[in-house]
Formats: sequence, structure tokens, C-alpha cells
Amino acid sequence: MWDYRKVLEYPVKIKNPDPTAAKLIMSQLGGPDGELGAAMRYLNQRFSQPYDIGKATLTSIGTEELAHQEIIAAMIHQLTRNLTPEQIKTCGFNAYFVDHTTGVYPESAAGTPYSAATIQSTGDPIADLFEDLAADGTTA
Amino acid sequence: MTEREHATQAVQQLYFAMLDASLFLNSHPSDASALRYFQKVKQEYQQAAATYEKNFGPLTFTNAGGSSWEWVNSPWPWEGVK
Repeated sequence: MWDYRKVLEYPVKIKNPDPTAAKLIMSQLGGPDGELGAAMRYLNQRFSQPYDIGKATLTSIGTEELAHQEIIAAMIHQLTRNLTPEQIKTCGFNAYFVDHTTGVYPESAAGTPYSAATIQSTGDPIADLFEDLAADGTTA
Repeated sequence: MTEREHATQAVQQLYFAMLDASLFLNSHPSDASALRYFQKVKQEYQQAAATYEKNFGPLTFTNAGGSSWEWVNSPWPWEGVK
């Protein structure tokens, strides 16, 4: 069960569009170690946690990763707002634009759509936590 | 900074403090100093959230209602500066 809180966890106020940056930041949304992957890791792995500390922690941080997902999505939205035709054509954003225009679509920087194939849930609480360290420890 | 931005920032800062304390408490549930800190920022958050909601509308749908359904009103959080 979740409630939405109508405020970003961290403010995003971008004045100038930058589609090149948006295309790279996209990986933190829908890439293999992005926020969506982190949320799906924790929120699914928590069912295998034997102790209350683990259940509480994965529930809390899985929820927080959804808030991170929203921050990154807000950045992409604002970085691609009011683009000129020239910016769309010349900033490395044209391949994304042809499928998604300026919609926010979770994919990696190289264009692979978000996939649960890049996460794990083994049923082994220790193996899951090590997988979390590998995925989240190097990013955020 | 507008009054709305000021109120939003207060909510964000205090919520973040409360959230971070809650993550620490998940793994240190009997830590007296962390519990005191949580209680302190929770009270400050509740004040800031009440001020925000009085002036700018509900932060959660459970606080919505009344004479009109203000929950739907812009700005939504991702819109930033237009």
C-alpha cells in the first residue's frame, strides 16, 4: 500500500533544455542500475527477508527509490521541455524522439528499455543483499 | 524565492531529515538519541506540512477534501520553473 506525497524528495528546477544531458541521465531512470531497477529489487526481495530489520529496510528504501525515480523523471521532463526542431535533430535526441517524442520512457542511455532481466530476486536474503550492493553501491 | 517555494523547501528539508532518521532507526530501533532526533524533526515537519497545506493545498490525498477537490490543482511536483 502506498500514498503519493505531492512534492519531490529533492527539488528540480531546470530553466534551460539540454536533450544531450537528458539522454544520458535516462540511464539512471531505466538503465540496469537505475532507480526503477533499485525499487524493483528492494520491493520484491523484501519477501525473502527473515528478520524485521531487513523487512523494514527494504520496504523503506524500495519506497524511497520510487521517489528517486520521480526526481530523475522530472529532470528528463524539464531538460526536454520546449525543444527547438534544431535541438531535437542535432543533440543526439533524434532516435529517442522518433519513438517517444518528449514523453518520459524508462530506458538506458543506449536505448534498451527498462527490463527486470537486469535485476535479481533469489529467495536467498544474503545473495539478494550482495546483489543490491553491486547494483546500488556504485550509483545512488 | 516565492512563498510557495519557501514552504515547499521547508517540507522537503524536514521530510528528508525524518526519512533519513527513519532509515537509521530501521537498523537501530532502540537508539535513544536517534529516537529523540526523529521526534524533533517529526514535530517540525508536521508544522511545516500544516503551513504548506493551509496555503497551497493537500500534500497527500488523505488530507484533501472540503469544499473543493484541490488535490488535482497544478503545479504538480515535476513541473518546476516554467
